[in-house]
Amino acid sequence: MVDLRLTTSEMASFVTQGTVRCDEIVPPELCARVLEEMKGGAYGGDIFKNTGELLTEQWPGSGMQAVLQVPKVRAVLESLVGPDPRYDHHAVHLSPAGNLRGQDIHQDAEYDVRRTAFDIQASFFFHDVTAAMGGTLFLPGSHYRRVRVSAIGRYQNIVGQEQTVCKAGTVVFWHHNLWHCGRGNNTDQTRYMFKLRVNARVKQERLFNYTELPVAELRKIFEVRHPFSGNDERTETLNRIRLWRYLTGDASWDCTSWWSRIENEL
Amino acid sequence: MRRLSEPKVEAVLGNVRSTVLALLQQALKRGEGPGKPQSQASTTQVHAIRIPFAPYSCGHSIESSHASQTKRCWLRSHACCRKRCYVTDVAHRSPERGGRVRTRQQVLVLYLALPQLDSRVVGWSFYDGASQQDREAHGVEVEPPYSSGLEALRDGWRLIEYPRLENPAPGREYQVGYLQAEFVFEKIIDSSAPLPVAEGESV
Repeated sequence: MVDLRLTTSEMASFVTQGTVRCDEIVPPELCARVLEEMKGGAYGGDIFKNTGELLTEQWPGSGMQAVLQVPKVRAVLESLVGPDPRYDHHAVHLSPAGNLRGQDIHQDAEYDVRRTAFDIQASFFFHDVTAAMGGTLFLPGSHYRRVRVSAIGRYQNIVGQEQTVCKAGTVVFWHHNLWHCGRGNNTDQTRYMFKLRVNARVKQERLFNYTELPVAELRKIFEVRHPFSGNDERTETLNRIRLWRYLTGDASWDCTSWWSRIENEL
Repeated sequence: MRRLSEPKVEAVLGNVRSTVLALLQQALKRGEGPGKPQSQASTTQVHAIRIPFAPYSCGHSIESSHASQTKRCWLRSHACCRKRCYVTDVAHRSPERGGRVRTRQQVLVLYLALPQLDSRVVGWSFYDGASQQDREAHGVEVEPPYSSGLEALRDGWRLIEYPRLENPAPGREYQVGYLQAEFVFEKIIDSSAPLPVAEGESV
């Protein structure tokens, strides 16, 4: 049986970028079903009503529960938060046709000051999203930055920002602290996106398809320079290595002695 | 002499007031305000150096100090491509407004990679005191308006705020947060000037 969980290099990429994007992993018929359910209001109401329950208990018999059983969706969630995560909340994001204003860039969880453990948010796109439709914009690599929710709205544009343009059935899994916003919809079609947040119920250690990789290969991933990093480039790398140690259970892992050279104070 | 009743007197005075007011408004529209002879309106029209129109990617034309480049005008947005054109020097007085200059502030905030002015731009925001339009969605523009803060200075932007250097608090040396190098620029423009857009084009 093929192991669909994230590979070591894919997980390392998540550590650096804060996102895992899987294109067209939800079958078209299931996309159509959930889209109709969303339009019919099936996922409306109090989005925090069931917070704390198991994810597998949500929306029994619905299209969305079927989506959560799609093998790749299950495998990626298991890689990031374990096999049986806790449901946090969800939201049907809807951008009406011609809504050019969109959102300001923001971070969802300023109250979450965990240094290593993290929640996962997943953005499900059940119809094609063109550039003009203004799909969710992410700033890859911004998830280590501690900011206050909407204060970053003063940044109208940041070099490195990436808007989601995708086919139906695409899912973006992202770190809960990643900077993001929904963009303006310059088309005559309503844009839908289903957002889901889940919490790990286990320590997030080697939940992915872990294999040893040469340090040199991981170093290339962890020393990536995001265009907006500026003076924080090296601090970003230190944060990535700290998260990698947590995810692999190897408290002494390092490359080019980023941490080792400063951990010898007796 | 026939005496008018009090209500009739009030009605006549009301008509006189309306007529005088209408005449005054017409005179003002012609630039003939009190103490300002008609000829003065034409002699005080100050036109900036006329700069060739540069083509924009959407097909619109704009006035720019960089005729060789495609520049953006942040006075107005182009409805067709939702991108802004950037105009540098619009300093001519409007004859239609009697030669009066109506100034407004434009604010450009550049976030640089490093806290020195010649460092590269990594983020930017723009606020236009001359525009009545709502701001468009963030994240719309892909390319920064300038490559560095210094380039903005050379294009006429006045630096009004320079970031301070601060060390992280003890124990927070490995914590990253906001973009640090925030430089604030301004331009004072004449918002009464007509838009430098080619005839027949809409913005």
